[in-house]
Amino acid sequence: MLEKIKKLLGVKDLPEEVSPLYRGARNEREALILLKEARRRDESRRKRSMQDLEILDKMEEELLEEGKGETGESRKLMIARRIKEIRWKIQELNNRIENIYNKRIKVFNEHVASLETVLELTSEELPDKKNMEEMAIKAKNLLEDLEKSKELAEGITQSEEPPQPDEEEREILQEMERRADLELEKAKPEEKEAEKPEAPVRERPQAEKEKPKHEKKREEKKPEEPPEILYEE
Amino acid sequence: MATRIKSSRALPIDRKAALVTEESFFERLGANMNTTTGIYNPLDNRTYDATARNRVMKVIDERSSEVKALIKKHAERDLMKTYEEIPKNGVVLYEILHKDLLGPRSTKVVVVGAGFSPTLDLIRNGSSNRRVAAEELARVKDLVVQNPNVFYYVGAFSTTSWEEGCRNILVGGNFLMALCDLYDEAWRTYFPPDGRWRGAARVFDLTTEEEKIEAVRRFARKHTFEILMDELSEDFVFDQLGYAIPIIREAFEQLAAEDRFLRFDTGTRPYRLVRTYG
Repeated sequence: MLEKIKKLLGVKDLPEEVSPLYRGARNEREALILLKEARRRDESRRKRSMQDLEILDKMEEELLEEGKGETGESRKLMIARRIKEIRWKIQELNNRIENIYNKRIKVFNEHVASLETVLELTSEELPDKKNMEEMAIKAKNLLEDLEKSKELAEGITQSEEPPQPDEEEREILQEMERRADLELEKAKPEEKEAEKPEAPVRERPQAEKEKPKHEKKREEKKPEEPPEILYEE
Repeated sequence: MATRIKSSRALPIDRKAALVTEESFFERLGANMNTTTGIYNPLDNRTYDATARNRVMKVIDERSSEVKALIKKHAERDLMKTYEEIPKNGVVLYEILHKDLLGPRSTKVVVVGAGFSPTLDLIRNGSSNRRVAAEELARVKDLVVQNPNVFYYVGAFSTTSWEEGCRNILVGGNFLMALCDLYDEAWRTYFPPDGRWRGAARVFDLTTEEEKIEAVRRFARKHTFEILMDELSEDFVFDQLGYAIPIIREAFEQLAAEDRFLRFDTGTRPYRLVRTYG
C-alpha cells in the first residue's frame, strides 16, 4: 500500500506522520478516512491544549496581580516560584502545539488534499477507444468548420466598400460646400479691417464671452445672420 | 515538588442561600437520625436503641431569639422580611432515652444539630463569607452540653465554613463535635480523630456515596488548573472535601474513563488525575 501511495502521489518518500496510516490502510479510500480521522484527533488535541493554555495564562495573570499587592517577602517569593512553574507548563504546551500538532496537521492536510484529488480523478471513468476516435473525428470536423467560417468572415470584411450617396444626398452635400465657400469669402474682408491699427476695437461684453458652447454652436449654425462684428459697426 | 499556595477565601453567601443550606442540613440530619437504629454511649460503653420510640426531638430557639434581637437592632427596614430570609441558627436535640429495669426513663445520649451563620453580616450587608469563630462554637457547646452523665454528639453546620481554631475544641469528656459545611455544592464533615465515634459518625455524614462521587467529579471538573499542574491527587481532594479515599479513587476512575484527555495515574502515591493528550 505504501508503494502504491508513493506512486499515486508521485513522491519518493512519505513523512513518518502518515506512513503508519498508509501502512494500515487496505486501499486509498481507507487511507483517506484514516488520515481524516488522525487530523480530527490532532485538531481536538490542539484545541484542548489551547484551552489549557488559557487556564494557565489566567492563573498566571491572577498570581501576578496577587504578587503586586503582596507585602511579605516570603509570600512574594512563593508566588514568583509558582508563576515560574506555570510558565514552564505554558512553554511545554506551546512547544507541543507548535512542534507536534501544527506540524502533523499540516502534513495531514496536504495528504488529505492530494488523496482527495487522486481519488476524484480515478473515480472519473475514461471513454472506450471507439468513442474516443469518434470524438476526435468530430472535434476535427468542428475545427475545420470553424476555419471555414473564419475565412468567410474575413472575406466579407475585405470586400465591404464605404456607402455611396444617392442623388438627393449629393445635392445637399454640394449645397453645404457652397455655403461654406460663401462664409469664407465674407470672413476675409472682416479680417482685413480688424488688422487696421487706428480702428478702435470694442471689447465684447462679459455675458457674451461667457456664453455656453452649445449656444455658440447654435449661432454658428445660422448662416443667414450676419457676423456679429459687422452689426456692431 | 510543586509550590503550594493556599487558596483564597470562599465566595460570599447571601441570606437566601444561607437559609436554604441551613434548612437542608437539618433535613439531612433528621433523615440520618430516622435511619439510625442504635447509638453508642462511651460513658457506659453501651449502645442504646435510637429508634423513634426511644427518641425525643427538641428545638432550642434561644439562638433564634438572638437573631430576632440583632435584626431589631441593626436592620433599618423590612424587619419581618429580613427575618424570613435569614438563617435562624437553629439548634435541634435528639435525646435517646432508655429505661433501666428498675428506675425511670432517662436520657443517655443526645445528638445535636446546630446551625451557624454570620448573622450580623447577613443583616447588614445581605451576604458574607466570614467564617465562624471558635468562640461562637464553644458558646453553643456550653449551651447544649450540660449533663455530665449524658454523652453528646454535636454536629455543627456553618453556612460559611469554619475558622482553623474550631478544630481544637471538638473533643471533650462527654462530648464529640463534628464540623459540617457545604463547600462548592459538596457536603463536608470534619470528624476529629477519636475512637469514641464508632457508628455515631454516620449520623453527621450528610451525603450518600453517589452524591460524594458526583461531588468529587464536580470538584475535579472545576480544578483544571490543578490537573494541569499534576496536583489533583487523592490527598488534595481529601483535604478539600474530606471524603474517603476509595470514593475519590472511584470518581477519578470514572472521570478518566469518560474524558480521553484525563488519565488516572496510579504509578506513584498519592494517586492522581493528570492531563494527557493521547
